[in-house]
Amino acid sequence: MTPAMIEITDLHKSYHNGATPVQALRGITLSIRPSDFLALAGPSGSGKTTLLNIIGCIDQADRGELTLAGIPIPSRNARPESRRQAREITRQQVAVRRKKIGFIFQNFNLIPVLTAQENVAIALTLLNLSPEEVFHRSREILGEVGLEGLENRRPGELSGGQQQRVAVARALVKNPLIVVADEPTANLDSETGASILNLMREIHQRRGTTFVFSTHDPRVMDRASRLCLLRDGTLQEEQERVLL
Amino acid sequence: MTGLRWGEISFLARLAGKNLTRYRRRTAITTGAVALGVGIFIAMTSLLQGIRSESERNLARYVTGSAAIASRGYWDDRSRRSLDRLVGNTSALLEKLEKNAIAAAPRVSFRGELIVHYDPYPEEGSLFLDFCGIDPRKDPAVFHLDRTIRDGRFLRAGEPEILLGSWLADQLGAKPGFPVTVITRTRQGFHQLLDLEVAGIFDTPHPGLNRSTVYLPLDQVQEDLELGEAVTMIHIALDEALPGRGDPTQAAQLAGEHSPGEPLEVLTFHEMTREFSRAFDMQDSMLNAILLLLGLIAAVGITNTMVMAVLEREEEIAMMQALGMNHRELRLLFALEGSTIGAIGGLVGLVIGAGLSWYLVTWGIDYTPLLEDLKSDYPFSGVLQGVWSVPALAGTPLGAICLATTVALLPLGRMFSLPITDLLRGT
Ligand SMILES: Nc1ncnc2c1ncn2[C@@H]1O[C@H](COP(=O)(O)OP(=O)(O)O)[C@@H](O)[C@H]1O
Ligand SMILES: [Mg+2]
Repeated sequence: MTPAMIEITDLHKSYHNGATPVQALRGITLSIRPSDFLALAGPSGSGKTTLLNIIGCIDQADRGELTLAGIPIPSRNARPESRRQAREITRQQVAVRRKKIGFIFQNFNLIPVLTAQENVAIALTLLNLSPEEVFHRSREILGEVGLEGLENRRPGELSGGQQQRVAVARALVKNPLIVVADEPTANLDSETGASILNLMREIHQRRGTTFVFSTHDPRVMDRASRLCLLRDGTLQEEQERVLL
Repeated sequence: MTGLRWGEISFLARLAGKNLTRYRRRTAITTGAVALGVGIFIAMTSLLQGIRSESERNLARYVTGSAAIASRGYWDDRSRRSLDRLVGNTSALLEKLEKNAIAAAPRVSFRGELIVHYDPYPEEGSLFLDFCGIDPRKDPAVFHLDRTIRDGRFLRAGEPEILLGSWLADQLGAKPGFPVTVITRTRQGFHQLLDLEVAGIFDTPHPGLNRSTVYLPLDQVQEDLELGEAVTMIHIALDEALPGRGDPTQAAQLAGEHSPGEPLEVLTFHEMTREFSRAFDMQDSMLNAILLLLGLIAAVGITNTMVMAVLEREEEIAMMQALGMNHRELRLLFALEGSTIGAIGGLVGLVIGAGLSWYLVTWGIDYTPLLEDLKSDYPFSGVLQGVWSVPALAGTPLGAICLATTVALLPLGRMFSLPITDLLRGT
């Protein structure tokens, strides 16, 4: 048994901004291994985004436990005793995001005024690296995602698929422990979506990066090494298969 | 926790610069507003400082000198123009001052009525005016009146004559050689009627003098008003670059030693010009109010721009936070955007302000045609001349940068209070 990369135990999360509270997650327990290329599937509103946001440390669970590569990430029930402690928790979350997590978003979220290379570099400039290293590593990864020669284009001069490749490069360039991708193919046509997924799988196999992504596209689910089905905030079903 | 590194700061600076090119029109309008505010403020400072320094120079050159010796209490009561509190035994005091190389000019100020008659004058006329007896030989050592004679000549000691101001002479139709009659009172209060002749017409840059002050030879005045050798004030000139900067202690000492029974005091330039200073201080506070207003307008413009920039980039800001950018880095990014607007606006404003200042210094604004109707009592001429105000040139752009930087950070606070996940969901 490989040690778990992410350990999730009885995670709960509800939203209170409407008239009636919405229970987005109702007790999720899941162990993600480094070798996982894991897809979260389920109908819209089943809690996929909420779970990914908590794993990605941009949201906090109400209760339950989350451990990321041995680092315990506090949930809201572990109420901070002071503002100082709360700030410390926020700071820790920011540090985890900065160093250990790569994000890929449904709508790419590139900065329109920056070139592809600069959009990738932004993730590295936060890591105390020399400008030369930032430059070389961001170029190298752009080559790896198949964008050699397009480094100086701005997002507006790239196709949707190319933009998402830049986003994949941005998520991977800092060698994160895990890449979190919320519906990475939803804004792409199926062919382009498939190629992005192939790219992610290639990188997963070549670099051993752990991927967790959500989708409701059956063809995307088919390509995952592990498939978790969510319904109404609970884990319904798990399938595993060997990646071909 | 590590501090910000240079590589990161320069990356954020580049990003900030590029962000400003997103909405060129908006950036240009905001920058233009900042530039205009900075430029106008610099020009106004130049003009008001120019007016102030010209006024002070004119007061020193024609009215007060660097300082003056007067009988204690005379100055506070001077509006009465009474001849009760005088400086006596003046020749001894003047000699002492001269021995100590302090230029001094004795003067007698009094009120009187000037009367002119038809032929040679076009009309009969009578005016109550300020009269001033001056020593034609000593006066030029302290004052510049002798250099402003437009027609005729300067006064001569011992002659029954008079100098009229240009505006007054033009109103009366007076020319050198014309007779005038002056009615006044002697020290004891008896009426005195003087028949004099216009020796010359002066034209100073102090409009008040040109309109309502008349000069006569001191010895004539002393005789006619039965003053002996007493005067109302002895004005002195000190070695000084700007009015009021000279050191009057030696003169004060000499005045103190002078016949101990007679209480004399030295009036400094600042004491004698307090009322003008107050008027100018009021202008300064008006200038500050305008600064505040311009600052407010610029602040509203920049705030608007930055609020829009933040709102339009909500999702992007959330993305950067998801990548691990912290609040400090985002604040730096927006501060850099704000300060760039401030710096460009400030720089363009500096150029505008310097250009306007240059115009005001070189040419000035000529409002002579308005002046005579305005009855201005301010001691500056009809051409408003600017000066180079280095503090305004340097300070205003810096102020614009500080303001723009501060204001750029305001909309971020609200953003930071919202959950990243909500911002990312925003589409
Ligand atoms: N910020 C929010 N405020 C209120 N309700 C929310 C919020 N985010 C998600 N929800 C609700 O939580 C549930 C799970 O949402 P989500 O995690 O986005 O599901 P999925 O990504 O699977 O579509 C849904 O019912 C959704 O309406
Ligand atoms: Mg979702």
